[in-house]
Amino acid sequence: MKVEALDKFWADKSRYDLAEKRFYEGPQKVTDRSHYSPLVSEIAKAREHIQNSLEKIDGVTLDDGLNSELAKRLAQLEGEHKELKTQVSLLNELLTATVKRLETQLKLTNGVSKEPEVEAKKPEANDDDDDVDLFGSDSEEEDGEAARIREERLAAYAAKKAKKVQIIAKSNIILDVKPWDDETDLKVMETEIRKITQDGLLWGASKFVPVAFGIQKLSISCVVEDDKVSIDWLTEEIEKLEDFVQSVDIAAFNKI
Amino acid sequence: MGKEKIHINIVVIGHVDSGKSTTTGHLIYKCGGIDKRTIEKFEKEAQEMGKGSFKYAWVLDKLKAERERGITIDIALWKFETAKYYVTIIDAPGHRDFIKNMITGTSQADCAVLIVAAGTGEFEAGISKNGQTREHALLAFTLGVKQLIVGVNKMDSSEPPYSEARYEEIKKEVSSYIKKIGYNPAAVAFVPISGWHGDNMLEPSTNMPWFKGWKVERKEGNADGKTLIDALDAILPPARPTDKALRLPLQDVYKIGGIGTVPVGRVETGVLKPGTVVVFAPANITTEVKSVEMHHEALQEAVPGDNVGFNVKNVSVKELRRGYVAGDSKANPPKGAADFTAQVIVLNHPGQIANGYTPVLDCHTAHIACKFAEIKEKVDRRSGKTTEENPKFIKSGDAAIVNLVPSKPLCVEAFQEFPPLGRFAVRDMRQTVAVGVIKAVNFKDASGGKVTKAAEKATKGKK
Repeated sequence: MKVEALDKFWADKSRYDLAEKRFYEGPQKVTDRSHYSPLVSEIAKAREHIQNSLEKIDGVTLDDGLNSELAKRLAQLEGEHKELKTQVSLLNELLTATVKRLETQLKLTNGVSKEPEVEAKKPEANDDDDDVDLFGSDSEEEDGEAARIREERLAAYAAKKAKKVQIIAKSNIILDVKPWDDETDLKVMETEIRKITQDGLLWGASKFVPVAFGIQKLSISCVVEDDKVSIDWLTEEIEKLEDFVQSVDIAAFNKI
Repeated sequence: MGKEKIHINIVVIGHVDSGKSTTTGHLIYKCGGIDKRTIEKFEKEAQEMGKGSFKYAWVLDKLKAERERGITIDIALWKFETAKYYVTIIDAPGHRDFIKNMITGTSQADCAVLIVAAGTGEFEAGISKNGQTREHALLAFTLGVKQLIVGVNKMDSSEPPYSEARYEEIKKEVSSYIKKIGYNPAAVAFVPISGWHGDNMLEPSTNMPWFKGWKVERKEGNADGKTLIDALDAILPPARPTDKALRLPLQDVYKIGGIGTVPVGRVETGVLKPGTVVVFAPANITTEVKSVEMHHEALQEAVPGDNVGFNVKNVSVKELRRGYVAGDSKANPPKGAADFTAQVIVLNHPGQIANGYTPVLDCHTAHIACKFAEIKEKVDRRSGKTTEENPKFIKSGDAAIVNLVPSKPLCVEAFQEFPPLGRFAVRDMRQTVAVGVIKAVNFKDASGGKVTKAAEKATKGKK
């Protein structure tokens, strides 16, 4: 009942507004070096720690023969890529220089002609062909020119994107948690479930839904950060409450 | 909402920056789901804040913020209506666990909508080789989502805006892209849209006079139209499998005082009625269904899609478990599988898979380890042609025909016969490392097993 009321009518909007305000004010105050800072630095430390350990784990998984070989090859390719890039830019410079020279020469000899430009463009495209291979494009039907255009656009897009703030990918999930019988106390079950916490996990609204023959299930929504919370982990954690929970099913799974 | 409209499910796939959520939001906002009061409240707020001209953006942002807080669990948030259908829309998240949900989850999509962005570089980034879009599209096709619509989005931000040349360029690229996955581009509607401004969403846009409309050719009948909503309306309705044999995978089994044992699950195919003598595979337990309920209401007939509980006599709660499948004992009853052959696509396995590999398979509600007994051949995903016989191993990106042997009794079916029981996710290290569709099942002989007195009586009574 309570939940349904929430759906239709936002009685305690002012509370949310306040919370929202606090949330947005938070980070700014921190920069003022106010009383928040010890906690914040503590969090930062913890984050760093997690980051470190994650990196270490990555290192470990990378350690098996195949991957380290891949990494080596990647590094090599990257090196080559850099080299080629510098070469290409050199070639470009040379090219513009030649074009200019040609133009001036042509102007001197027989007025203005567009031919040299066309000729000059061809070698440029060929140069960039090497670049394309580096990007591992294996579609043979693609000609160098198309690939070049694509890479240019990608680069422009990447530059544009870099300026934009990265949005954290999140999903909204509705879980159906089923009890053992009609005597399981769903309220206690819910309280226990809400005790499961994790960075990037936010529990949302819930309601009891009739199944059949007097049994009810708990439908509970949560918001997770895609990179931080595994849904398998989450369902396993809930299923660990085996005094209450028979099974967990995912009723809905959507991008936010 | 009248009752005559058919219900369909669609899944929206595309790069995170394709604007697919805006497009999805637009449809839900304009045609559905969100109750009028909520919208009115947000629209009023927009006016008060002096954002009247950005009313639409404001409302979408507010709805998103509301979702982020998870303060509502109204599934209606993901529903809208077209002239012909009630649509449930799934906005495919990038979360890795979503793939498993696509396979074992509650709603199989009837159509996929691929959104690509027309902006410079955005399109190119969106369909790059390693993108999730490719994976989702490939999965959708593999899992039997044979209908596709392509929305070329953000036409307002192409250079120049609403550029026909850019649209044609993208259409050509995407056609070859989806052809590689297996779709027939001629049967796919391409619509240039702006989910943000609303061009060609519900009404034909005046910004793109060059667009003469989309056309699809398919053997079930051609269709054409101008807008995205037209394209959704042209989706071929799914054949609801009521005429097939009953298959009901169990989710849970309850013991209820005064009533007895109550298995609960979703009817995938066929119908379940009180009085049906059902068999539970693979345990091969036969008994009679006394009554059927959904949301506490007695049903005379449960049809595909219904999540029901039913009361069975003389069977204890310990004899049944999640993953068992109920079927009609007299009409093509389900049986346990001795082994089965499947086409498996390796998505993201860090190493190599060889004969003997025994990961856990998630198929309908079952969760059972199965052995890759024999990797028979490597195949071309699209054509199904053999590329290598008896390969030593398979790795990420490969498709193969594999013979699998379950480690415990398991009931599965060929995908052709019973799609929801014929597709599975291969789980290892908490990840979906591969997906598969079952080509053929070698059933165990259904001898032995228990027949309850209630079942005997019911059977005799009918003779």
